[in-house]
Amino acid sequence: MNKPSTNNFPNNNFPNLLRVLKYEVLRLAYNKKYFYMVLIESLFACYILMNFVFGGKDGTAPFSKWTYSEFLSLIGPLLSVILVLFCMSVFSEKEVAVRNIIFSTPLSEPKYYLLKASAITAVFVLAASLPILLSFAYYAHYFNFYAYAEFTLPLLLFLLPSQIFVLGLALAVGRFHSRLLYPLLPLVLFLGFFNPRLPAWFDLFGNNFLSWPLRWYLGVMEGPIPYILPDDFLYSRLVFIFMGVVMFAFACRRSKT
Amino acid sequence: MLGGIALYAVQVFVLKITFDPVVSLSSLLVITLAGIFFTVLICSGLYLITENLDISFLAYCILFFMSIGSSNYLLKWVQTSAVMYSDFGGILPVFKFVLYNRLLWTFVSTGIFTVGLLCRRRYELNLSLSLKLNAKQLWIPVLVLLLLGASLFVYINEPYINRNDSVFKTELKANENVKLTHVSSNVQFFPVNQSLSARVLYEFEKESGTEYIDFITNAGIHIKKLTVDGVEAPNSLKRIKGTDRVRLEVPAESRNVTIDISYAGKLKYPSSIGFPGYISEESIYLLENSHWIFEPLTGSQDMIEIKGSVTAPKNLVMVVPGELTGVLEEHGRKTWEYSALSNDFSPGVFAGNYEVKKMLAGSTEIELYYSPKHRAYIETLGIENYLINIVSYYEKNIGSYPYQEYPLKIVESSIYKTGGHSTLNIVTVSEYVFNRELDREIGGDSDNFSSDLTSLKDITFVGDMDLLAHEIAHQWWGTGVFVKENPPWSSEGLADYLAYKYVTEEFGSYASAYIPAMWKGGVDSMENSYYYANPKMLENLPEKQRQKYEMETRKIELYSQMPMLLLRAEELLGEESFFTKLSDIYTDYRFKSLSYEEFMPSIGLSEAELDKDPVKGKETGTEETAEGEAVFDE
Repeated sequence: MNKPSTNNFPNNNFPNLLRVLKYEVLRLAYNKKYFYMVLIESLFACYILMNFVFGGKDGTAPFSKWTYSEFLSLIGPLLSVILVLFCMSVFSEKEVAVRNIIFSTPLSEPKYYLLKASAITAVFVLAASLPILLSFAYYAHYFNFYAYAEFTLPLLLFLLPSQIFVLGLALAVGRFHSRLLYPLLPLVLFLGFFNPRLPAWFDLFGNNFLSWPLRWYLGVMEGPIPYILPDDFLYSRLVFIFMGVVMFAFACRRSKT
Repeated sequence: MLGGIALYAVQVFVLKITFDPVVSLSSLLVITLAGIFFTVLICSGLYLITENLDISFLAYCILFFMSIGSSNYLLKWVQTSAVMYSDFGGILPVFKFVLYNRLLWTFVSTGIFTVGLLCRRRYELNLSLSLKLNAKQLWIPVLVLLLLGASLFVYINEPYINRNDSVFKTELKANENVKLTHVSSNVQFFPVNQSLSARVLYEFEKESGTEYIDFITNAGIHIKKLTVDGVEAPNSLKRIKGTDRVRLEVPAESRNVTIDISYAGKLKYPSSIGFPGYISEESIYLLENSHWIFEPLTGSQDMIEIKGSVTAPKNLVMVVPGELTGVLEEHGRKTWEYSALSNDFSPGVFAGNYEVKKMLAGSTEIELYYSPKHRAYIETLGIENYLINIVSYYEKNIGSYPYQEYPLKIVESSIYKTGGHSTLNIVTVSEYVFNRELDREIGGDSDNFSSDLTSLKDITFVGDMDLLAHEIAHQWWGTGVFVKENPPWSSEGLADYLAYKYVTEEFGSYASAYIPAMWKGGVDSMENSYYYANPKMLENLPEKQRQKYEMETRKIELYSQMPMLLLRAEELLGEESFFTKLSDIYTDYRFKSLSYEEFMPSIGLSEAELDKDPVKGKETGTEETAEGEAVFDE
């Protein structure tokens, strides 16, 4: 691929990039497909809320941090599938076909991928906020519960690391070969919907960890179960975030040719 | 295919389970391959409808997840509800669920695919125009309608499950003004059709003014003929809506009523796993909870005279309640006649290809009915001795076996009902108790036990013996003394406590220490649970969720909270004196009912002494001992 010989395009391209980003976001989100995706995902979130959240995780309240963590670990896989599907669009044949033209403009490869990733992130955050808002509405309606700030920690531990990791992985894998993204879909589903009791380091969505009876696992036999997660679980979250970022950096690298 | 071959290779060479082509290949075909077949049809259908790979994939993900997580067996299309097959009872009792599920999903998946064909986009046309064009080929819309109709029909007319099982219908109380005095029944089993036909004669004593008697029936069985006091009265029968009960009008003024009911049909189960009754060619398993004999809802306190006969193909060995009084054989079928006196009408019968071992524990005759397939295990581990020890332990500490005139029958049953069960002189335990791996390393006598208890296998064995001891204890507490349930007070607590005491004596306190720890864990987690502290919030729950919560809570109350209270009583009184008091209560209340209010003063303790949080009387669940046992007995 012939790269533009000059990389020293003017510094005032920042507003332009924003405009391109806006365009990319609209391209991803403003269509029927996105609408149906979000619809399916919301229906799924409702199904989970009505069937699994009511009981509360291990006798904790339905609005406890533990129950919310379980809710997140249940909707996580589907969100990740949506994320991978977004990433597929970056490596679709159409997109690859126009890439030559794009790279003839003063836009570097890292910037290109950064741009794509930002657009995906923005659209994804929008999509992910829907089931979360639904859960808030559910708590307000059934339990008169409004202290949503309590859910920050579960969100940071059970949703963020897995999605960052999947985003990085999907972009890196797609960069390697676009077809390789397909096996990612069942892989994500398998990790999320089955509980083969994998160790924390493979437990992307935290569902394996949550499939243990909490009291037994944490050794808390009396009183309420505190929201304390074991160290290896916490470290594994950091590792997932770190690996996600590293793989993302790998995906953004310049082609050798 | 390769995966299948690998699986069978592992089965034969690693797990050393013989390859049975009929079982293995039919399961592969019906479970795995059918699942793949449905996936292909559903996915292609979804793709044709949406014209979008991503959307169809997402929709598929959801269908997949719902299939795995669903509790309704009809929706489990990826896997099936049959998670286990019996070595003892044949696979048909659960495999019919698998087959029916596959029938439904054949219609559903082909339906989705045909809808896809209807939506197939024509060249340069959008969805609605393509629909119009496709619909012109008349066979496609006709097929869609047919398949949709067939799916609905198959779903609605599900033949095996009774959704109105009486276990959950506790608001209909027994009529205390009516007493059942005699029952005589003739029941014929037809294992090939999995059906039965029966004629049952009931005799009641009632207070004048009582206008009706309620019966619990089985939804799959239909009444053919009904006579009240010798007069045919088909119109006096009313079904109580939303339940499996019928109401029978009887002459109000008379004091004695005779009711004669003839019925036939196939039994329905309350759920697709762990069911209380089935009839198959290899075995018959009928608990009172299957209502193979309709149960009148009466407040019987006195002894009921039960007489009856059961007829089945002669290759089966039948285990009847009470005493076997005669066996007749004609036309390849055998009739077993029995009679019993009981304070409670809850007969169960069990049949299979049984072998019988007879033994004596003190003055009690014990008959062990087991499958010849599991003889090696039973003999190697000396299960016989444990049975004798259990019965002797109870006889020594509580009192003699309640039904001295009948043998105590211990019956192996299939895994389709896990755990065990106890009714009138019959104790059943699920086959896995006699079907563990043979090469477990356990010492012959109790002293060796504590040293190698670290191995999981030994804990399993202690658990198995605990289960046996629990069910046998029900012969003393439950059927011997009828314990009036008022959670947590129930026969389960006494049975659990005594089984624990026996296991401690047999294997040492090191081996049994996990049992009270388990009780405590259960009670702690219950007391710390959100809905326990906020029972008002239960009102917000949907019906099903609330039922689930209440079942779990009651289970903990009966099986963990109650034995812990008894353990506390033992601590306060001392083991010896507590056992003496238990034994006195047993003697006083034999064949009578015993309530919590009667029990407490009898052991000479107050509620406050027993527990900081005394046993609370609850409104629910006073009349449901028999039903409860069948659900919970594990």
